[in-house]
Amino acid sequence: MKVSCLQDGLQRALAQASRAVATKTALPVLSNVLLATDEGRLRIAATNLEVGITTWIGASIEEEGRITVDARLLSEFVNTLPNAPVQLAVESARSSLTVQSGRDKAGINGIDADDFPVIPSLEAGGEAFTADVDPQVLREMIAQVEFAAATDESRPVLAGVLMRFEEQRLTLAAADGFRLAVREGELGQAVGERLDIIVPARALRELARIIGDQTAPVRLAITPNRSQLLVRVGETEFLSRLIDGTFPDFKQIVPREFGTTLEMGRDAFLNAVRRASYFARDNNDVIRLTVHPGEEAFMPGSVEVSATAAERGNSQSFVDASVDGSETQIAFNARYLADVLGILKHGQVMIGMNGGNQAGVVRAANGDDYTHVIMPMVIGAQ
Amino acid sequence: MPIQLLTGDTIGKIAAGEVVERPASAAKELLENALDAGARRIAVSVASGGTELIEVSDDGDGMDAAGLALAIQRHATSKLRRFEDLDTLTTLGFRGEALPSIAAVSVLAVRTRRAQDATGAAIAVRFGEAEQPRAVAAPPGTTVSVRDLFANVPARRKFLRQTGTEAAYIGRSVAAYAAANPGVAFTFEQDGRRAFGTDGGGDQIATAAGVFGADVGAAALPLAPLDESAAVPGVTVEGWVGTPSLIRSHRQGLVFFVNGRWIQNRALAFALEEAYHSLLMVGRHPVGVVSIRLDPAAVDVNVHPTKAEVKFLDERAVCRAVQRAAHAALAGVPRAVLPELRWEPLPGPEQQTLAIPDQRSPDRRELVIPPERSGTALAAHPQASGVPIMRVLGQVAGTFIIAEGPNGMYLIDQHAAHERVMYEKFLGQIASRSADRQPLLDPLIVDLAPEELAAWERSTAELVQLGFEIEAFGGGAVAVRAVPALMRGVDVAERLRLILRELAEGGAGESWLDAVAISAACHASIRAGQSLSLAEMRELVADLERTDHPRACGHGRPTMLHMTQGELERQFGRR
Ligand SMILES: Nc1ncnc2c1ncn2[C@@H]1O[C@H](COP(=O)(O)OP(=O)(O)O)[C@@H](O)[C@H]1O
Ligand SMILES: [Mg+2]
Repeated sequence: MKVSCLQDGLQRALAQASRAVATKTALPVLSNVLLATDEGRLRIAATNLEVGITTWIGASIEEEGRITVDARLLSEFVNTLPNAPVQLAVESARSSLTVQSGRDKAGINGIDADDFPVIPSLEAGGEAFTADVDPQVLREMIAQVEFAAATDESRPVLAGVLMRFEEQRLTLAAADGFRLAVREGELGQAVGERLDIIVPARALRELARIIGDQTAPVRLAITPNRSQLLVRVGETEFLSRLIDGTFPDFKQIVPREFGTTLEMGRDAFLNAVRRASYFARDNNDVIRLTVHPGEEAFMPGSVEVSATAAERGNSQSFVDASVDGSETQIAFNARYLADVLGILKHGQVMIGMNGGNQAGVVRAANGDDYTHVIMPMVIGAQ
Repeated sequence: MPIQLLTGDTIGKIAAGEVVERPASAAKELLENALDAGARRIAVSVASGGTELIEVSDDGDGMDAAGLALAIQRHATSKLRRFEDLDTLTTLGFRGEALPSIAAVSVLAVRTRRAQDATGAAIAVRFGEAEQPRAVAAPPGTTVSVRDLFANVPARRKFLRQTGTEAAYIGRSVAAYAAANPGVAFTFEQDGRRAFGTDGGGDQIATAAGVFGADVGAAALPLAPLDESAAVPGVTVEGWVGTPSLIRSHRQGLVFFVNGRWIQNRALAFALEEAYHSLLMVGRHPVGVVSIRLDPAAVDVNVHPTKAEVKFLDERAVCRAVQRAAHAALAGVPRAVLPELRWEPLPGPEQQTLAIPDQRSPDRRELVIPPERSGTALAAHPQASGVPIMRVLGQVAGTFIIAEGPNGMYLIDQHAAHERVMYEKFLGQIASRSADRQPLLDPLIVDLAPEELAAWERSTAELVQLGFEIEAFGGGAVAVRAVPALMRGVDVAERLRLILRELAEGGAGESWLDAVAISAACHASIRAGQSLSLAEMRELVADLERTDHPRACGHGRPTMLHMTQGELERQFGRR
C-alpha cells in the first residue's frame, strides 16, 4: 500500500473511527484501526463488535493495500504532525505501516487486515430495509428518549431503544420500568413494510454524536442478514448490533385522559425541581408537587415543589401554572423530572396526571410528538 | 413407675424408626438412659470407634431382674404409659426402643443393681437372642456394654466412617452431655486412654474447661438468668457461650439442649449467632452449650426417631430467649473491634536493596499528595461515629476502596460498607412507617423456585413494609408492582430472588423484619467487582461515616481494615 492524504482529514477520520475501538479486549486486532484503499479513497474503520464505524477520506493512491495498526498510537502520532500531506505505506508481505510527513517518520507494527472483522457497508448494497430521515430530527429524537432506557441488563430489551418504522413515521421509545419516553418523527419517504428494531441505547448515543451538525439526510438500513443497523451519515457509516426480543407494548401504558393538567414555563419549573432535588438527595430523591388551581376560573394557579430530608432541612418553591382540574398531590423522583425537563426545549411544558398513584405525563405544551410517562413514588404510610 | 409393656395404641402413636445409625447414636442412647436413671457419675469407655466396645456405667437407680428382662424388649419403658404422658415427660427416653434396637445388632450385656436390692441382675443379648437373667453381685447402678456393633449387619458396617471419625462422633456426644450436665461427673475413655473428665461439682465454666480444655473455659461467658423485663415467660436458658475470640468455621461447636435433650435446630443457632451481630465474620460461628428449659407441653420431642429434632409450640419465643441471654452475656464484650491489617513484607533479596528516596527529599515531595487534614489534628477529635474521616485514594480489584485516615491506611469493602449504609437507611425508613416505594410502569413477572415462593409467603408483611408490592401471579410466579425506592436501579427480579433465597435459608436478624431488611440491604447494595468512580467512592465513604455502626455490615462482616502508619513504617524498614 502506498497512499498520500491530508493530515487534518486523517486526524479527523481517526478520531471518528477510534470511538469504536475496543478498550478492553482479548482480541488485539480490535484495538486497531483498519486502513484500506477503496476506490480512490482511504477507508478507515474500527469495531468493538458492539458497534462499528467506517469513514472514508480522499487520498491519492499509488498502490492498493490494507493493514490494521494500533488506533491510539497512530492517532497520537498523526495528531502531532503539521497540516501537510502524510504518506502511508505498507511494504507488501510486511505488516508494518510507515507514516511519513516531511522529515517526521514512524514505523508502526500492525496486524494483517485479513484478521479484521468484516464490517458491512451500504456501499455493498443488498440491505434488507432502508429509510431516510433528517439528521437533526433523528439527533433530537435520540436525545429525547435514550436516557429513559435501562442502565442494567436485567431485561435486555429495556437497555435498548425501540425504533419503529411505519408508513412515513419513525417512532423511538425507551423505558426502564419506571418511566417511558416516546418520540415520533417524519421519515423522508414512506417505508414499504412496518419494522420494529431495538438498538442498544449506548449505540444510539454514539450515532447522535456522529451525526453532529450534519445536514444531509441520514440513511438507516438493516443489513442483509437482518441482525445489524447500518447508518450512513455523510462520509461515515455506523454499524450497531440489534437487541433480540419484543419491546413492551408501550402504547397501552400512556394515559390518554387526565384529571388534572397544568401548563407552566419549563425553565422556572426545572429550576424549582433542581432546587428541591438538593434536599431530596438523602430521601430517595423524592420531591412533592402540590397543584393548587387558581382561586377562580380565570386566575392562574400554582405548583408547589417541595422536598424534605430529615437531617438536612427542606425547601419549597412555587411556580405559576395554569391548572385545569382539581387540587392534587403527587411525588416524583427528582431525577426523572429533571431528566425529562432537561431535554425539553424552553417554553411551556404540560403535565397531566390522575392523582398521586397513577402515572404522570410530561409533554411540551405546543407539540404532541413527544410523550414522557413517569410513575410517581408512593410515600410510606405512617 | 414399674416397668411394663406399652399398649398397642401407644406403640402406634410413637412412630418407629431407626434408632441406631452409628456407634455414636448407641452411645447417646446409653448416656440418656444413665441420666434418666438419675446418675451422679457416668463413665463412658469406647474402643475402636465404638465398633469393638461402648460401655456406659452409671450409679443411677438400677433395675431388678424382672425389669431388666423387660428393658430389652421392644417398646418396654418405665417412662411413659400413654401418649398424653409426652406432655409431662421429663425423661430423655420414652420410646422404649433403644436397648432392644442396640441388642439386635450387637452383643449387649447389662449388669445392674438397685440400691435397695441385695443382689444385682445381669443379662446378655447376642444379636437379638436373649439369655436368661442371672443373679450377680454388682455395685448400685447400671453398666451397659455393647460389643461388636453391627457385626451381623455388614451393610451398616461398610457405611461407617473410619474408626477415628466414629470415635470423634462419640466424643462429641459425650462432651455435649457432659457439658450440659455440670452436676454429673463424667469420665470418657477412648481406647484405654482418658480423654476428658468433669467433677460433677455443678459449675458450668469449670465443666466447660474440663470437657473442652482450659482455653475454652477461659473464653466461656455464662448465660445468667435474665431480669424480669427481658426474660421470656416460661423459658429459661442456661449454659454458656464463647467470646467472639472463640470461633469456629463450622456450627458444631454450638450445642443446644432442650429439657436436657441434645437437639439440632437451625433457627436457634441463627438466633444465637445474631446476638454476635457485628462481632463475627460471615462463615465464623460461635461456640457454646445452651440448655433451654421449658414446659414439656410446649415442645414436641416426638418428631424424629433419634429424638434429635424437636418442634416448639412457639419457636420465636424460644429463639428470643436464647438471643437475649446471649446478648446479655456478650454485653461486656467491646463491639466492632477494627481488625488491624498487617502486611507481610515481600520475600526476596531485592527488598533490602531497593532504594526508596527519602520522603523529605525535595524531588520526592512532588509525588506525595499532601493529606487534606493533618493526622494529629484529627486524632485529637476522634469521630463520634466510630470511623475516622477518610480521604479516598482509589479502588483495588473493583472491590475494596483504599483510603487514608489520620493514622494510616484503610481498606473498605465496598459491598459491606454499602450494605451497612442501606441497612440503616431501610431501618430509618421503617422505624415509624413503611418505606417509600417506586411503582413500576408495568408489573414485572418473576418466576420463583418453590422455596423462594415459600419464603415470600412467609415474608409478605415484612416485604410490604420495606417497600415491595408483590402479588401472586400463579404458576410459581409473582408480579412485582413496586420496589423499595432505595432499591431502584438494580436488577429487581434477580435481587428479589436472592433475598428470598437467603430468607429461605433462615435469614439472620433480631426479628423476621430485621432479617428481611438485612437481606434486602445486602442485595440492594453495590457488589464486589463493580468499578466505582472516585466521586462514588467518596459518597459511599461519607455515607458510611454517617451510619450508627459503620464497622460491620448487617451480616456482621467487617466493613474496613486498618493498617496503621506505624505498621507501614515498620514494613518499609523506616522504624
Ligand atoms: N442405665 C439404666 N438405669 C436404669 N434403668 C435403665 C437403664 N437403661 C435402661 N433402663 C430401663 O430400661 C428401659 C428401656 O430403655 P430404653 O430401651 O432406652 O427405652 P426408654 O429409655 O425410651 O424408656 C427404660 O425405660 C428404663 O426403665
Ligand atoms: Mg432410653
